[in-house]
Order: sequence, then structure tokens, then C-alpha cells
Amino acid sequence: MNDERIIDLVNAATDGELSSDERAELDRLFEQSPEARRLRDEIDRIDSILRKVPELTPPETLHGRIMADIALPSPGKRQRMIVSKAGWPGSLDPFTVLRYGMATAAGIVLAMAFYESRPGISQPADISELVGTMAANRDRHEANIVDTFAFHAERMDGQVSLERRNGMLLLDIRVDADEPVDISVDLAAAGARLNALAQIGSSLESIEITDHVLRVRARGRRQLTAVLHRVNDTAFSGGDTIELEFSSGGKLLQRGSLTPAW
Amino acid sequence: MDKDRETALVRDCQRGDRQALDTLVRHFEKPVYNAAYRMLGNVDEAADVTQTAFMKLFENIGRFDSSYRLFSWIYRIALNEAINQLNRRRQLESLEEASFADRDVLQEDLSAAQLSSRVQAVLMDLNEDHRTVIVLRYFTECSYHQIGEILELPVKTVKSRLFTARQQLKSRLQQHGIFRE
Repeated sequence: MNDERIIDLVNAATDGELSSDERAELDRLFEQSPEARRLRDEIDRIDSILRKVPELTPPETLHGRIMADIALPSPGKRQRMIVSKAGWPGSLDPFTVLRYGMATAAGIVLAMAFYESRPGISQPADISELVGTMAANRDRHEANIVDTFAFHAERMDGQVSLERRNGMLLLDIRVDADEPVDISVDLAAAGARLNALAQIGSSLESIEITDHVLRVRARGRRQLTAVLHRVNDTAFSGGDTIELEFSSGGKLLQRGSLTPAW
Repeated sequence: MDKDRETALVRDCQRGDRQALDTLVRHFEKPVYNAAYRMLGNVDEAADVTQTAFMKLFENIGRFDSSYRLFSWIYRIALNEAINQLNRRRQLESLEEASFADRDVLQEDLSAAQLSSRVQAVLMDLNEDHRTVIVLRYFTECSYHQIGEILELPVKTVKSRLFTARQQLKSRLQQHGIFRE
């Protein structure tokens, strides 16, 4: 019997891949060949070492991250699968989610250029293919601001604004916090939903979206911009306010509201 | 998870059933994470690769061909992502706990954590082809046939690659004092 056959059989035995005929063949081989026995012992020892390596437990947050990343199509609707990535809220079904991408100047320019170059669009556009982390909007004209709410607390402050651009209503959240701050944005009463979302610069600690409520946790200097879309749904009154809550460590710090003025 | 169950869950996902998605993610998350970690030797990168692999999988779940197994797809994506990450990294990061000052200590005397760390260092010494087959064999419990399906290789090639990988591994384990003749 040649060496190749011995190697094949011994490896297959270790891997549980032997047929009964091969098992019988190998048993005979072990009786006759010290080399086969040596090879078996060697592979068994390697096998034993590797099997003692403990299985790692993924980080507790990983499952949530994965689930938040994936948007499935709505039942009964033919819809493209839209998936976000790396900390982006993806369970926005049927929200359209800005895909994460290159935090590059090119992407930034592309993103902002899109907003600026579509005058007259009356409906929020599908910007799901927009690539790139959006740049901070440095050209933020006062005239575009619909409503603003500023919050202040010890070691943290920020601002949530509504801004109209080219027919789109943008929700802009800016935070500067030494401790994690939780911000809840309830869109239900205003008859709004999120149509797209973009994290600007560094990642937020978490983003969660349930129905018409956006919850984010942020620490440090962070910015998030969302495109709002009016829901033509009788379940929502429309025209009412967007409710804001700011809390930290489970303690409510401040409440506020914004009026979208559709 | 048997093929019928897997196929049913995929079909439910295609219809927008998030409970089915949750079940599939829970089933594959840990082995995919472990495989990614053993390819990369870095827990943060392993988590990112796992996340990306699932994202890519479900981005295309509508096109999933049920004559294939989902695991082969997710592992293939994850391994490719891990290799891409290695290419991006270009140089190996220093491994945590990868000090071999006490390299004469045999594996019987090592704690599980020490053994894990040392074996990881040894794995990182292997080339990517060999590391991949070892990872699939030992950390995802794939059969030859399944490894072949994931890597799109004939079973014969899987066998020979696994044998060579074991020989390489033996040599590295000896160098690290974990294996003695």
C-alpha cells in the first residue's frame, strides 16, 4: 500500500469520513504498519489539541447589531432588500436606509450635491444607493430651519433641528456629551416616518427604531441626519409635533418638541 | 439544523418574517464569529466580519438557490470577508496574550485561554489556504464535502490541503512548545 493511501485513510479516520470498508482496510493496516500507527497518533494529537480550544462567545451586542443591519421585505410587497451596515439601523422596513460607505470626501460631496441638485422634487427621493457618510452640512442657511430645540444638561448639550431642503424635511441631531445621552424622537403624532438616515462622522453608540420612534445613544461629538417622510395614513393625525426626550443613565433630563409644518 | 428547516426559514425571510431571520442569525452567529476570529485573531474584526457576512447574505437572500445549503454561503462570505480584512490589514497585529516565554509548557498544562491564544498564534502562522481548511474543519465542524462546497474545491483537494495544513500545524505547534514528538 502506498503512502498516499495510508495518509488518506488515517486522515479520513480522524475526520470521521471512513466508509465501513475503508475502516476494515485501515484496521488491517494498523496491524501491519508501524508507520500508519505513528501517523494516526500524530494526527490524533493535533486533533486533540485543536478540540480543546474553547469556543468563543460573540459579544453580547453582536446579535442586535446584525439584526439591526438587515431589513427584510414587507410581507406581501415586492420590495428590494435594503441593508445597512456597521452600526446603521437597518430594520427600517419599509424605510429606506442610507447605506454606509466610504467616509470619503468624494462620498461627502456626492451626498450633499444630491441634496442641492434636485430642486423641485416634491417627494423624498429614493436615496438608498447614496454612497458615503454625509458631510456635516456647513451651508446651513437659517432660512431652511423649520424648528429647533436645544437641550442642555450637566456635561452635555445638543440640538435637534428640522430643516427643509429641496422638498425634503431633514431631522438633524447634534450632540456633544461627556456621558452617554439617550435621545428619543417620536414621530407618530407628527404623521412622519424615517425615510433615510445618515450618521455623520463617528458612530453613535446605538440606534434603535421601533415603529415611528427613533432612539439613539451618543457620547462625544456626534451628528445624525434623518430624512422624514410624511405618512398619508389616517392612523396619524399629521401636523402635530415631533416629541423629543433626552435622558442619561435612565434619568429623564429634558423633554421638547418640534413642529414639522408640512 | 436540517436542510428542510433551513429552506423553510429562508423562505420565511424572503417573505419578510423577522422571527425566521432571528432564528437563522442565532443559529449561525456563533460559528461564523468563531470562524472569523480564527481567521483573523482579533475579536473586534471578527465581530465586524460576522456582521458584514450576515448583511451580505440577507442582502441577496431573494436570490438564494435552495438547492444549496445556507451554511456554505454564509461561511464562504465570512471567510472571504476575513481574507479581505487580512489583506487590508497587511500585517498581523500583535496577538493578545501571545507571549511564549514559557514555551516549554506542554498543552496539558495550559489553561483553556492560554491554549486558545497559542493555537491562534499558530493558526496565524499558516497561510490563508491552510488556515481556512483548519478553521472549517475544527471550528465549524464541516465535513470534507461541506468544505469543498464552501471553498468550491473538489473533495480530493480538500483532503490533500487538510493533510498539508495539519503537517504545517504540527510543525508550528512544536515550535511553540505545544506539541512534542
